[in-house]
Amino acid sequence: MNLRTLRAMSIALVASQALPAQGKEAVTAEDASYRLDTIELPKGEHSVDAVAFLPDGRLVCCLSFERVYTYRPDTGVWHLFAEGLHQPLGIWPISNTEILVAQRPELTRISDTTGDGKADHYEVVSDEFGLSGNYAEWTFGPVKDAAGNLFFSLGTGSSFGMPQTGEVRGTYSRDGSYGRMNSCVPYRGWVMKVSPDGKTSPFANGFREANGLGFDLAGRLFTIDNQGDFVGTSALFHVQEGRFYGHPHSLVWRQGFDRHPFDVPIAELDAMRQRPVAVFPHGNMSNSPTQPLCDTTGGRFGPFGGQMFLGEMNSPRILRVMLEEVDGQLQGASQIFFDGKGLHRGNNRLAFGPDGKSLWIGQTLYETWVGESGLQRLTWTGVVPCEIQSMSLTETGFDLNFTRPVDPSTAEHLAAYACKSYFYNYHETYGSRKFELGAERITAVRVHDGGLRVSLTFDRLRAGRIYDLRLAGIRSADGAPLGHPWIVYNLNRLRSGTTMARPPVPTPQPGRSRPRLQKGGVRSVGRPQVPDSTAFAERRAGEIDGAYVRRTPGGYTVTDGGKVVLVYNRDPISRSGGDHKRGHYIHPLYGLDGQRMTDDMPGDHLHHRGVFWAWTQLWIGEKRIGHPWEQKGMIWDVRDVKITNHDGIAELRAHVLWKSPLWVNARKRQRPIVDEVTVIRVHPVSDDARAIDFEISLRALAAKVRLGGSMNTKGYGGFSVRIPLPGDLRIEGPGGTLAPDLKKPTRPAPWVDFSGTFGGTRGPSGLTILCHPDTPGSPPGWTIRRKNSCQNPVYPGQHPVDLSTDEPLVLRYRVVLHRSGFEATRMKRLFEEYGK
Amino acid sequence: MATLVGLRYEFVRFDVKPGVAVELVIENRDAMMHNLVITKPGKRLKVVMQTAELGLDAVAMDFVPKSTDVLWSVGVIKPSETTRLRFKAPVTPGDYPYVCTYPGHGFVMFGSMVVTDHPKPPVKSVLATPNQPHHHGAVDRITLRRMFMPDAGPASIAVSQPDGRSYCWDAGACRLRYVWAGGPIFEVKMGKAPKLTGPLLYNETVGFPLRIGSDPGSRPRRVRYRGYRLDAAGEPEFEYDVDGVKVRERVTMSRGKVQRTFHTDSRDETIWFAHAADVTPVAEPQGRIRKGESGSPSYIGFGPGQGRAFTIAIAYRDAGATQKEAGR
Repeated sequence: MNLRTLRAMSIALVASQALPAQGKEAVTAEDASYRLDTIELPKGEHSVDAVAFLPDGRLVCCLSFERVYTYRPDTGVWHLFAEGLHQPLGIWPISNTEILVAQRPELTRISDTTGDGKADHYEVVSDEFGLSGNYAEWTFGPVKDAAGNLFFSLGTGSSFGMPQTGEVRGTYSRDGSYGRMNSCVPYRGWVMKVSPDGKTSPFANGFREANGLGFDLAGRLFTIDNQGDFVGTSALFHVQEGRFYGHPHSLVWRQGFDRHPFDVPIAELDAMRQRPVAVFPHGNMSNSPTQPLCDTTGGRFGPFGGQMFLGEMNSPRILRVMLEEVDGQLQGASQIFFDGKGLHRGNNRLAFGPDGKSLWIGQTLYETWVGESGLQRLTWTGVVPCEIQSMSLTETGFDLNFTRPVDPSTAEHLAAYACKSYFYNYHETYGSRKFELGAERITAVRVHDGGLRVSLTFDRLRAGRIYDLRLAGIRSADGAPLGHPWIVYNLNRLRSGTTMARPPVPTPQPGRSRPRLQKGGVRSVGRPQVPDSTAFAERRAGEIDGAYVRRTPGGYTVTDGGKVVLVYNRDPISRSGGDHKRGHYIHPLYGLDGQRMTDDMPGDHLHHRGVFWAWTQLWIGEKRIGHPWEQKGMIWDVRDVKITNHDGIAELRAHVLWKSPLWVNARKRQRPIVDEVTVIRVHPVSDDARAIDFEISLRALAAKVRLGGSMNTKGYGGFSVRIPLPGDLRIEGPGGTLAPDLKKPTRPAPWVDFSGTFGGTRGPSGLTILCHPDTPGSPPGWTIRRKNSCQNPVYPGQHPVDLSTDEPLVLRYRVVLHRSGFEATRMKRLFEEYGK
Repeated sequence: MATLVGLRYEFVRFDVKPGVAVELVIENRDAMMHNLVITKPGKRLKVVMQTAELGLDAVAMDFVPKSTDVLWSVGVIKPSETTRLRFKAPVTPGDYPYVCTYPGHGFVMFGSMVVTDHPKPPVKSVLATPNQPHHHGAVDRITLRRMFMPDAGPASIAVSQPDGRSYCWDAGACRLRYVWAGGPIFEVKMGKAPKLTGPLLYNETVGFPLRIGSDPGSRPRRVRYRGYRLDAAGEPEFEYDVDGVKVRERVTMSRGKVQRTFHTDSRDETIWFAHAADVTPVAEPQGRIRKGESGSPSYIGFGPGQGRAFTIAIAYRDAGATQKEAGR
């Protein structure tokens, strides 16, 4: 250290406990129990995102999203230790000269090997996780357990950010890129573990932004998550190996999980997830809790030993959580511990000072987020505050334990307690309102243990709810008012007799962000290269017999024994440089011997597309809306596709909104016209044939919607298949060979078979289209063509039909792919089977 | 005169009057070994190259070649030793280079003795000012900062020299990405890769450059970034493993070239350095050159023993760098 450095330090000299008279360290507030003071940061520095203490008693801090300083509380001297870091958010001290830091790209061991007080060695402890360049991909932690394992956590990426350079570290998963918060590179949304031998492994997943980790006295690991998609309100979680905590995107990196997380129904995710142990009601208690820190002071910081304190980013608050084990699981209550009185906002990191009397609070201000920069310290004065010490569930209600005896005359009447209960719903929508919010009835109150305990009896207790209890007018025996009379208990389980958890309440699914990528795509460089769910699905698809559907880029692919059966194109694509964009249709469809059975965008009719269902006439009242058959003035907005695989049957359920630039509201936003739900069910091969069912349900979302085929006598429109047209094509119906009629539909027929030599296969094969007897207008007349066009059971024909806003119009068709040529008896049998 | 950490002499220039008696006291304050050779004007690089040809005799000769271009020299000075050199200054005015010809040092560790009738005070090496207090916006020292960077992976590191040259080292891809003419980047905004502070001077296009073993065409199976060490001047040396071989790499930029100094713990393996066919690196030791087919990289191979320490200098157009070039 040279003279110049010393001089720089003396400029930043700040008075401390030892020098209170100098006044640089201002006592900001004092209540009877806790004194708050503020420590001046080194000149030019801001945002304290890590606080910890070295063995010699120096505080070590991450400052300004880049630098590490040490601070001597006895002399008030700040000293720059390390710099050049990428948004470090946590420190774990190793020795007086060595620390672990969690920064964006890695967990780093930073040491001063020369003894000059400045770090000179920056060594990777773990970089075995992906990084896309998205701002929300923070790295939090680290903490170390008694066995020497390190834990850190990885924030998910935001749909408002994007991979910035087209290059990511680690595997890039397109599946993981969807949604409000995403996991496009390995282990975003996971808590990670580094074992003492240096090996990094994923530990638990399902977190949006697990900003801060901590252990309790029993060595149990905790983290928080922040209100948002799939997180109804911010909460504290008990982190256990291999478990899932609710935010699904990180499932793409779960070993063996072979589905796209969005394809998993919410009820199934709900059954998989772990409930939070404590909750912080959004908008009331906390909008952004941070690092949980267990009170390990053994009473030197007041009467809350073993409980947990948490910072709060958006308000000038520190929170407190008290947990208990109920029916084998942790759950408990949360409270505001310290509120205002000169405390800053931006409370992001906590540490107890070496003497245990003070809680040091690092405060941060990031970009435009709510917060403040600073370093403050809360010190217990030795005066026991008048508070609820803990809240405990009983068989019939709750026990409240107080830090000081309460005056029974203020506590023993029912009017002193008001309780509501509600729950936060588990759903994809950002946050949750309070569901079923209602008052709970307290039937009895008893003050005992000399005023240290109050037992409340409720007329009922329900699991899976949050109990919001407010106390009024209660004072200690010596007249002190209760500091914080509001407490919130997260009742996951009753003491006994908890029944099955309530399934999530269905709510409208929000629009899902598609991946935002640089032009030219994403290049994956460096480690870790690990399989994602697509890769697992790929492998599984090759392993199993029977139809199997999985997500693939732009849509979904059904395979059987590893061979493609069909592709459902969800996203609009163009095969001609931007013209005739088409989505929500099937192409290609393959026959049993791998021959292609559909054409897309043939030269004669560029708008024809594999297997599709569309109409030429769409009316709202007297206003004609575009020309859907030709993809003109029409948008199929595929909101959601749910897939299931069972018993060799692959099912896709697409929810689609028909929209048009010709039908907008006053703010020029497109209004949905028709709500379509189409179920496509692909059966396994049986008896040399494969059936594929289509069930198309159409419900009007506007009044007076009408749907019709071509306006001429041909009337074509509805379910259509554009098959290749081989020279030896035979077209047969139940009444014999059908000849094309270029002026009008054929005579009614419940099914029509198209057989011939497709795709150069040896011998004839074919495709039969069957119209279900329950489909309106069945049996239909057909548009059939031997040349230059598609095949179509006509519905409704030239004259439009009304679409109801209540009862959907349901159209059902089956396509049978078969290996042999036309056989009348077989087709008849197929139809009879379908009719059943 | 002292030698300092970071391949530097204390002074990059000192002046003497023609014909005077000169005594240089040279103190090695670095942890590495150094020497000092004064050459005839303009002969520094030639002498450095002659040193490289000494082969096995180099150590015995203290890395000083027998050459008419060498005027005076001192042998290898061990760390914390001091040596004196007495000589009579040349009578002809001019710039007489002094250089450390220890392997790998000659490209960066040098200065100029100016023989002149009007001597000026010596010029200190600007890099040789360790442990300066921190300033925002400081450019009078080497700075290193990890950040998102344009045209590189998200785990990037920006290193800037006080002379206003910077490079991007990518900890994800574990390699040098590019060099630009400009100082540190201070503007870092949420969700946006920052802009470079000046035009690009050199862009490494061949990907990870090192190969271990007999076949330079075979890329390493596993490259693992380990971290970096800072010397007293704040200059980083990156550490990584390539298929089990530990590598240290130092990057130094100067006018017209970027120099990479590699140290490895390889024993018998050949280490290859891949480079784009359109650049002509100067290697020290010279190594074996294997020209690539058109469009594929060329390689310089360092055989057993050589692969433990070698330097690669790659030239770029520098002072002539314009905004136009930056847009390439």
